[in-house]
Amino acid sequence: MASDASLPSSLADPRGKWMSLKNLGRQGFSRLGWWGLLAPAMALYALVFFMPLGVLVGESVHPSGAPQLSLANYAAFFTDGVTFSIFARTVRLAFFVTLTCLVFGYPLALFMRRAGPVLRLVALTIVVSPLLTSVIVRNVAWLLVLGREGMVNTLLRQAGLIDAPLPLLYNTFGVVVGVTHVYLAFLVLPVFSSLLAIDPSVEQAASSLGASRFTVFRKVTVPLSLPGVIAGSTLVFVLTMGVYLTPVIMGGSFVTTLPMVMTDLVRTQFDWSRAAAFAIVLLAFIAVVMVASSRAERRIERMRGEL
Amino acid sequence: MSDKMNMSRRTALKTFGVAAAGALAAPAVITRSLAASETLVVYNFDGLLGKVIKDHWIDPFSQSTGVKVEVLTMQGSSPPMAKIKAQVDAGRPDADVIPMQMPDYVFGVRNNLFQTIDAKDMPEYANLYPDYITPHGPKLVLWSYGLAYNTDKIKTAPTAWADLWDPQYKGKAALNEALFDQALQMVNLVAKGKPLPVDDATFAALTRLRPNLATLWTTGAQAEQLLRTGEVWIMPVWNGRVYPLKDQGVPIDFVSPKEGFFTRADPFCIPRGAKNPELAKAFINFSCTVAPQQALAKGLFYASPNQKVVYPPEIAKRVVVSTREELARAVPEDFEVIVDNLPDWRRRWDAWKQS
Repeated sequence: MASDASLPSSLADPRGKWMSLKNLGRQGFSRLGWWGLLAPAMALYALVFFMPLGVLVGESVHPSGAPQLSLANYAAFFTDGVTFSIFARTVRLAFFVTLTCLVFGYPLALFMRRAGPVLRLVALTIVVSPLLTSVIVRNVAWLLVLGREGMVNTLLRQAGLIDAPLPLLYNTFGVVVGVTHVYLAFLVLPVFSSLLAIDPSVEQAASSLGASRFTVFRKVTVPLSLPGVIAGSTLVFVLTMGVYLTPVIMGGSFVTTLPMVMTDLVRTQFDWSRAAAFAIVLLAFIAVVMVASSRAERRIERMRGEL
Repeated sequence: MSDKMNMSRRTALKTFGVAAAGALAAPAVITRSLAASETLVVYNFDGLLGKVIKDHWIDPFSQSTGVKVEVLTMQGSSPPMAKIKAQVDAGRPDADVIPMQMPDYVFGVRNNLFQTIDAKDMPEYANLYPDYITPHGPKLVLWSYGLAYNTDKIKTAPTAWADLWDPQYKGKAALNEALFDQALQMVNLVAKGKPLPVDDATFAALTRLRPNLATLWTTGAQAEQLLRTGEVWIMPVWNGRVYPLKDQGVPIDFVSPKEGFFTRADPFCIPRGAKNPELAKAFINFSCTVAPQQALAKGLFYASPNQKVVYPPEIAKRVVVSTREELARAVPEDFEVIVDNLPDWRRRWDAWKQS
């Protein structure tokens, strides 16, 4: 997301704008060649992303049973009395997961910045390891840990801390645990890299001028790591909006997300047109989140420039 | 019984011989390349059911006829209808035989995805219950939906769906989200004594059940895990998931509730434009015969529409619908109504889950 935000500014070649007529030919060619580098990726994206997206949009405005174009499917998203509230709950879930990832991930990234190379590698491996296991294996392992007869409840009961098992599974809590477990890496990695980019001498300067360790952290480290925090949070938020299997397995389907609604439309109601419309709405929402996030990042960059 | 099975195997072979001769005589087949017409492509279930069908339907058919059978394994037990519709519309289905779930079948018929199968081409139809023959294929794999319960935790066996509401099972019951339409009909059986209509009273009864529900599940594997770990003590599930677990020593058993149980079956269909319709018919006809049907009942306790299948007493109990009389006790389900109402029921179900 960080690279998305910086792309437009680096595309605007300042020399290009004031190109003299004499140089036009030569520069024009090199510029063409430079743009040509994009061609393979663009061709691929046109084929595997933009074309299917066009098909999806086309499908979404042809509701099954209606002969002409109609926005009925989009209207249904907001007015069918349940889809919008499921969407709102999906947003809420994504918000919880992002917050949990921040609470666990930011201190972890700080630790990794201070740690020596070996410890850093160990921490990194542990954070990334969930991405290397299958989602089903990961979730089923959690079922054994969090279940009514699972490890946590058994231990707590044997220790005499609880009488009845805690409801750790088949609710929002269970889903947040399962999703945080895998998406933590997407927060830790950008935060870690933006922390690494902070010049330690800036922090040293602050403390040599009398700032306490907490003030240095609050006034120097946190603001300088914000681009990483924004990029990481955006990634986690957006990924969670599309989560399907974990709510099914760890939420016991009582936690319904928008992707579950769309899957049902396709698989049991055969209403592909409506599923397409809902997918477009979700995509549009994610686009808005991405734009807001890249704007926030740019604003921070500008503020830093003014300092 | 073994005599009888041998007999029927021989009959099956003879039957196939006739079908194969017919196929070869058909000019359309002769003009086609022989290699292409000798590979039959069949969709199969995954898991244990898929294995039994591979071992007892597909492999014997392949061995006795020399036809090469290519198997495409479905995820779960539902065929990918979006893909199938796109392929049939383009005139190039990737399989010759596809087992359908009933709602998929209704969708397929409404969208003209299947070939009609003439009873003349299907000698074994003579032995099937007539109501298990659709115009597009026989309904095979009769699974029964009843109550599974943990015999360690529940000493008096439940007898009715209504037992799910028993307050002593607080947080110990579960429902199948993937078959929520059947769950709604089950709730209706308890609440008003008949499966339909689904209305406010249905959801009120469901809300009364909510404190007992630990979770909802969507796949048989999930159900199995809930039963194995003792996380759930009692839930509606199909017989084929319960008895193999019981035989492994898991303390569970299966009852068919007194309000009536559900039986569903899967029509085996040939998509329009299939490359090998004659071979497909031969395979489906072979699958209907006694030997493959009996193997399925013995292996996984799914009943057969074939009246010639005889179940030993222990298996008869497990297949639930071993006789015409037992079959009559099953709650009749109108799949046209179900498919028409699914979107509305689903919205109400989702709203109920949020409340």
